[in-house]
Amino acid sequence: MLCVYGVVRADHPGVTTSGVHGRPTRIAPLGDLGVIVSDVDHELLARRRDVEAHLTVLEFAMKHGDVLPFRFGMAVADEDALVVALEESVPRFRALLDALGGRVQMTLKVVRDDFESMRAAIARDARLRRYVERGRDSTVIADRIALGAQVANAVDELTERDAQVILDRLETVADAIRPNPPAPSVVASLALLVRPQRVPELDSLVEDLRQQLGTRATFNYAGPMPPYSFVA
Amino acid sequence: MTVQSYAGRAPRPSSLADVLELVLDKGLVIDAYVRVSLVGIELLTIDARIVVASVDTYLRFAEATNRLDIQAASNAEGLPQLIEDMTEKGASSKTRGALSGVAEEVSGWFGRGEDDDEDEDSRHDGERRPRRPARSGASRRGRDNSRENARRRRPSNEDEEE
Repeated sequence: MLCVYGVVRADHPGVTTSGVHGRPTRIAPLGDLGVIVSDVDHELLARRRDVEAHLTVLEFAMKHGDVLPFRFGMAVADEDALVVALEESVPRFRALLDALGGRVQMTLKVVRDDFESMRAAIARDARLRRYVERGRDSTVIADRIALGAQVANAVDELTERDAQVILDRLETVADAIRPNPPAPSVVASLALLVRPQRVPELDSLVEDLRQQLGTRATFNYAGPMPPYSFVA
Repeated sequence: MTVQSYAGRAPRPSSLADVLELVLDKGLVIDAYVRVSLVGIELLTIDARIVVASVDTYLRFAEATNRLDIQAASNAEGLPQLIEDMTEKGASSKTRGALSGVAEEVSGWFGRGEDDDEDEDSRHDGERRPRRPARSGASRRGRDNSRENARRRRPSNEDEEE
């Protein structure tokens, strides 16, 4: 059984790090392209060690040429089955490799701190500040809910605006942006496609945004990695 | 390809959940009929539910305002501001409808009698938490229904001052 990692061009030198289950990887031919594979004896489970091995192989491959990453857990019986499964896709893979043109994926996830965001939302809104000052000592449940709703909405509005600013700024450097589905307290969760030479520019842009949002959000910025979000 | 490193950037997302979202949810796939079936992969789904504004959230924020030093908050106005054009009007107009709606509804629900079972929403009751005799039926019903109302009322924009 073969575990499948990624599609590369035929001239790719290959990957010397070991893959899932600690097994060596090799390149199986696929038309004028190649597929990074390794043998596996038994079923794949999404264990941390193996998921990380999958990532490591792809990161290594990316350093020596362009790569189209497969999702973790793709396996076929043997090289013949691999060709059967993928030969029709060869033109699409080739077009995708050309279109990506060596661009890499960066990810940015900005998560808000609710309390600090509330502080910021109240600080910039004099009317809300007066309302909170006047209303927060009430113990009447309807008043508590009304006050909380007012504050929660102000916080959400601030978050939406922050999200828009983040997106607008990043669009100046990224060639494509794919947002991940919204989640609680997440201001922005984005996959960015950028040219490797523009990564330092993106770094300083992200740093600017981080300073602008201050304590009200934490940034999780990562990359470069293979373009997972831009191949499907 | 070499990229200079920068302290604020990790080679890959730091949480396992984000890594899994990347490698289990994104990337090329092989058609299921050729692919070897893999036990354990399909079981992992990424949970990304959208937040629904709820009375619980409102109460949490109301509680948080009591911990806030308003004076310090107003002094903090000089902090770097990402948002320049936040006007008082902008902040209040959008929230007013939902706000007064929830307050009205909740006062209504809390004022209800104990044995008023007619429009109990058993769907929500059953799903969210098992009926516990220790809790008052009226207050539980109040919570669930007001959450429903909060959601339903949200888009409305009746202009009532608080």
